[in-house]
Amino acid sequence: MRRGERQLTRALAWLGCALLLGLWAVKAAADEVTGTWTGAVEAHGNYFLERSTRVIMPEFKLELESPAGVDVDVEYLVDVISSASIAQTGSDEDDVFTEYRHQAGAHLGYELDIGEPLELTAGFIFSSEDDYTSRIYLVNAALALWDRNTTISAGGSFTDDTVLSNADPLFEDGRRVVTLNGSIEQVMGPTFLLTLGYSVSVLEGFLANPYRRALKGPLPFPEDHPRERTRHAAYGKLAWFIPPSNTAVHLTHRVYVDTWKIGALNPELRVVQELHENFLLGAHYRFYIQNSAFFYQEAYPAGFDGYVTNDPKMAEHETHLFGPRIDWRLAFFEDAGMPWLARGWAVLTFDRYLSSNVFGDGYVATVGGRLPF
Amino acid sequence: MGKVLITLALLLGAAGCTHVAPYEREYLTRPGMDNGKRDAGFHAFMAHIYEAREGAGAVGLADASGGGCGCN
Repeated sequence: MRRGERQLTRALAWLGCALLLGLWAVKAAADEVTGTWTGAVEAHGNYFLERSTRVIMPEFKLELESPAGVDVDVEYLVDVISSASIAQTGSDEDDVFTEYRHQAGAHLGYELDIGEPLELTAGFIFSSEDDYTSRIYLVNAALALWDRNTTISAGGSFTDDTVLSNADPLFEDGRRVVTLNGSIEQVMGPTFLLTLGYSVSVLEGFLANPYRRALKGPLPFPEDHPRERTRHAAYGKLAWFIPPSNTAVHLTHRVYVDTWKIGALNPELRVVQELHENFLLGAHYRFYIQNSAFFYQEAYPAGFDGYVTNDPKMAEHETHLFGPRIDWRLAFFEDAGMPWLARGWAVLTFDRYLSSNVFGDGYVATVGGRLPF
Repeated sequence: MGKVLITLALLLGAAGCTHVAPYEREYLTRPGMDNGKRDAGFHAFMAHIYEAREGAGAVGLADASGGGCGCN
């Protein structure tokens, strides 16, 4: 059994223990107040296709909520990534290879009453593929004030990754990320909701790609990125409901800068039309533009001494994402004698992803559902 | 940038003076306004794509997501 599989097995065992512990806590709390349990099951199939890569990602999630305020979420997903690559296949020509990434996570939350409701959440996510493992530890606190007119959230995460290479059995390096984030959500009126947020991530370790090569003159050399990076992002979200037409408008804008001198702007507009209380038709458009990293060059001279990259993400580029979306509540099950299914929602999305860098254009689609109970 | 922050702070402060009672928030709870939970899986998937395809990644967009370098 490979190390990644052993780690995944161990992580799943821990998640199982966390779930049992959480269920015990939920059960105990539910017994105390003789309340009812609520929750939801969720399943999605996600699909991404571009010129040289196809990703199929089924995911499953279970949420349990006790009347006493204890929440337990567990989730599992698998990325099936088919890609054309010279480096990973070891041949002289592009060949299609498929790799699998398994991810499992659990979150435990509890709402305290300190005069105002304070929701505390802790979580763990484990991800494993044959050349990469990732462990993420998360905490978050959300304080709702003034009849929940204002919600202030603060959280953080620590990521500990191990990077291997299928092309070099001796290669092993690490990557660590500390992220802090905060946000404030404010009810601006009966139809307006405003959210402002900020996030900073400090990365340290191997931040390049073990397979990618950059040319110095005619000769290929391993990609060499700085081993430290600090990333800042600030965003605002405005949600507005227009009662006469039952239309919801969501406007988001994100501003990003980092110490690799990449700056990016990222506005997004989403409109959701309630055609019926059980049927929503949506459309959205997202624009992204960035400049290049300070060490990016289209070509490096022979003998160049400095950081080198062949990563298209480091180059100046822009992307567009747009497409429709359908949300359909399965109310017809009420008449079919299955009222427990009638509260479920089915979701269908289809998006076009246009990119000006060498990754090229792609398609994104999701089909899934959520069933509260 | 400073002016923007001051403007936003004043905006939020002014909003804080307006109290919207829970029974006045019907529109804010309509399905079109609150599809966060139905969207969570999709947003996490897109965040992973952005992390693999864009220099700004998913910082500030979604919960952390594990995974490789999104290379090749």
